[in-house]
Amino acid sequence: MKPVMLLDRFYNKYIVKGILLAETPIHIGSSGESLDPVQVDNSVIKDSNGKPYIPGSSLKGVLRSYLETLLSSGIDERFKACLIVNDPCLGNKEQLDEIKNIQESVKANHDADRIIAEEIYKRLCTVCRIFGNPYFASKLTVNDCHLKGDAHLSIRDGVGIDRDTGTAADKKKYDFEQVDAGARFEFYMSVDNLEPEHEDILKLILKVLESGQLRVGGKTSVGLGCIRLTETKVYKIEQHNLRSYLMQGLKEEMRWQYV
Amino acid sequence: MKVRLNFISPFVVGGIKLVSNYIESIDYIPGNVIRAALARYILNNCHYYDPDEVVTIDGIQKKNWVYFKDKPRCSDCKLQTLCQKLGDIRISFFYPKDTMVIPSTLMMCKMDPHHGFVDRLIQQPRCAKCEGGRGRVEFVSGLLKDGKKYNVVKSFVTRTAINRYTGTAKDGSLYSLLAVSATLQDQNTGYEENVFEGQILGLTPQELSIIDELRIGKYTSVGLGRCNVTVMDEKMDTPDVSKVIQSLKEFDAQYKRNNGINDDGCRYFAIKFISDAKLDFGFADVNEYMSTDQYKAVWLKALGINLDVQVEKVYAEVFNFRGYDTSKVGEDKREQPVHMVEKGSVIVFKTHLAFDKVIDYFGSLEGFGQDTDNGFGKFDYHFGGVC
Repeated sequence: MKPVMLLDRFYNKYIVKGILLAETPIHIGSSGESLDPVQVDNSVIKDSNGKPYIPGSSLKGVLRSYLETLLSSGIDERFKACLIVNDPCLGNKEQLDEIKNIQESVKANHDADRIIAEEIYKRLCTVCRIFGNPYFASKLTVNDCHLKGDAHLSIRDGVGIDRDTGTAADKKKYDFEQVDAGARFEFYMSVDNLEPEHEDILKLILKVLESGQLRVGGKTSVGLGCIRLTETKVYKIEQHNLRSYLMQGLKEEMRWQYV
Repeated sequence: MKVRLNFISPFVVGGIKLVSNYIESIDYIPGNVIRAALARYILNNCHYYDPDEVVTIDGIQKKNWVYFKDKPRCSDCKLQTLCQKLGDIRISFFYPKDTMVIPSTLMMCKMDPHHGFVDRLIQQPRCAKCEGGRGRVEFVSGLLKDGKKYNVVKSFVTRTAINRYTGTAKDGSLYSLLAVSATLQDQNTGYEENVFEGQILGLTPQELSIIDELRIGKYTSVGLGRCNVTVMDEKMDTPDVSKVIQSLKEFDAQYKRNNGINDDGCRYFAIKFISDAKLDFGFADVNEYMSTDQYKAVWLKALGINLDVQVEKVYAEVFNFRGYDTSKVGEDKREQPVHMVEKGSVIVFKTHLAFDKVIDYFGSLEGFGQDTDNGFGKFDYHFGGVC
């Protein structure tokens, strides 16, 4: 049996860089509420410079959820997906007891941590192996996507419609802030120790991002949040070029041949 | 010389595990902890430091041992004198600025801590300020500041180790530190300081001022225990012997009055430990219950007092302590267990000698028990009450 790629040593690293282009306006709401009566009801999240950005957590969440949907539908029988919220991997007592029993049986072994980690890894679905779960850290990381250049922010009004009268419902008027279409955000994603058979998943992620099918933020069902990855550059770092990457950074010869 | 440690990060010293994953710092710094910090500072700056070097000290093999190597670059080394003197300097315990140790004879009102203290040696154990003057009191320990019980400010730091295979929290590795983060906290202005003071003897201010920043206590490699060292005014208080004798006489009179003793031929005086003391009680040979008189004799022997005095009363907290000597080579780095008499413990002596003879003898003592060079076993006269 070939060894699984855990996180204790370096096997490989994929780095994806590019520009996320907002094809439609984006609204990723901030949690802060203002007492200012002229302030917008729902403002967009902004960084310390007051510029809007797309949090890495939003993107990673959308990507994971999209992959779960695809893989659960059985498009590729090599890959499986759990439902991370409702029915996660290692989410039931029997599975955890099984792990505990293994833990008990190998506790005298000096390599116990590795053995248990392998047992945990074997019981994870493809998505959990890449995106992580409470028992195994994520191999994939997405940085916050900061604005490149400038963006136009606008305030859009909305109103609820009274179903009986077909007119504006009382006290249902609201407004929200949005980053207008055309805004460009710097994209950086990396995946560590990706197993060779999971390269197809990474390709799938890239295709999804480049096709503009993903939507981030709020109000996606009413036209907002459509993003497309452009100017994509994918690098693959392996043991033979790791030193060069660490000392000199990314180079053209490290580009992954897939793209 | 008086030395001030101005902490710029919280510290954990002598962390005692209250439960398996909860480590609380003590609120004072023993001298051996300061010495270890100085040793580490010297080694970190030593041109010839070899972590694998083993030296034999008193027949025991040690690593990371500071000694003057007298090699070519040693003559230019700024820490040359500190390195040469480290084994000879005497370091006291360090306490929060402007605090003193509470004598274990002090009792406090159970109902209202603002009612002040009662000293069991010279007063009846009841709070005179409570209605009817019969308020219940209880023993207290710790530190005093401005005549009131004092506590340092501690802060929680929770940490875990990471399982290198899964990248998640390692099983059973979550722990919390309760670190000392401030000695003074002003609620109105938000001003905080974390300042400890003590004494280092055998070094000049110039020799100590070379140190820009020390790291004291545990977890120093992850940011805890950083402090600046400053030398305070050189003036040391020299006690006025006549005043001390007068205070001893007053205590003697009060003690006799409180305990109904009418014997002009004998005198009573008390000392209090202002630091922990490592005493050898020789309990290894004990295999039966002892009478009070036998027990008092054990105390006198453990103190090693060579003067015509008797132990009259002991108010002490003694715990078994077994530390680690991380400089030891080999698996077992534990030190021999010792009986540690806690700071604040009070011992009342009875003697027929005049007080000037007592002062002459006790004044010649560096301290009681082992490890007095690191401030253990230091004592002061106790005149009753908050003094």
